[in-house]
Amino acid sequence: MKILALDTSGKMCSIAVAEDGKILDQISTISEKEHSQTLMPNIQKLLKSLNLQLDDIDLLSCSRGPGSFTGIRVGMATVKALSDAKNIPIAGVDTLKAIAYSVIIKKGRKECKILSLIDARNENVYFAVYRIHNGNISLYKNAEIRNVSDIVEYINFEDPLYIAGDIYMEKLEPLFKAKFSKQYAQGRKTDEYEYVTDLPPLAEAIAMCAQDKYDVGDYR
Amino acid sequence: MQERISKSELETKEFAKNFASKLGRGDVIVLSGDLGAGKTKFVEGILEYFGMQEEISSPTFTIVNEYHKDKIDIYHFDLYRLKDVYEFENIGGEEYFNKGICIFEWGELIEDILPNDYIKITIEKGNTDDERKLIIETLGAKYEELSF
Repeated sequence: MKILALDTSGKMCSIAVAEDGKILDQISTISEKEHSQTLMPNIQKLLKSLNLQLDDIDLLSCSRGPGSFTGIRVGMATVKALSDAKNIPIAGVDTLKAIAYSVIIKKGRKECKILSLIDARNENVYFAVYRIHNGNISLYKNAEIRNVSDIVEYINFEDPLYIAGDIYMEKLEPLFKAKFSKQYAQGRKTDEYEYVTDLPPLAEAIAMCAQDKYDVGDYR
Repeated sequence: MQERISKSELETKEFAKNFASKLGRGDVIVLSGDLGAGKTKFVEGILEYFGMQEEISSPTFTIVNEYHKDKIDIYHFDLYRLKDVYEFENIGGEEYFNKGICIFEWGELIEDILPNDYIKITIEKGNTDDERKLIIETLGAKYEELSF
């Protein structure tokens, strides 16, 4: 089955088509233009390059937040319109989960925890923790919005921890480094953590999450 | 907090132009003052600095008026007609903060969600008809060193 997934929750506008759990192709752009201007042309371009029509798509998916308010609305309105016009079901995906899934796409499914981060302005961050166990992803800690200085409190896990989200380098890195250098100086075992860069465009992860949802009947 | 006395409309505009020379994308200004105090003239002065010579109209009904030239984007808001901060959020208001220079009349409505750094300008009527007192307050570390 084919999934058309899009993400407009951040600065990048990304679109991906997946078939039977594998990404066929994707387009992602960052431009001065608004998502409302670039999204439809890019969807058309991607489908055309794959020799596909909208009628070939079995499931539509987009990010449903958190993230840019207008960005998410553009994505959702587009997906709803396409769904209505072509009678295609929709599955919405949590942006924080998509970020965590992007880490799986890049790093594989070994036992670990993933801290997903999204900027929420004014020194605040949206975050959630996901766990990879026996190859499956599950929510470990519910999404919350907190001040950057509070986030470091949540890092005391035994499993290796991956951190994902651009806002990490901008606001959190020095705080994490400070916390762990203290632990190291005290002779305690420092938790392992790695900030993951160069993640694939979010639409790919959204397509994968949508596939999981479809498999359990979680779509409308 | 800084105070300046302006003896005329022209002086207010000149001050606004000088003020604008220190502004860039991401700067947020809350502009307060009674009817007729000169808020619109002040904004005109800011626009003039950036080469946007326009007689502007009040954004009371439009909520926001936009002015673009070269790489400068100015968003002039009047939040009087909005009910509460949620209405501002619902129209995607927060997304404007990083898009250009934002000037808010009735900005107190959204005080809770304003960026940590912003500038507050109050225009008060002075001792004579033409005289005005301009009060400039800055909030946040970004503007600590600046003087206007």
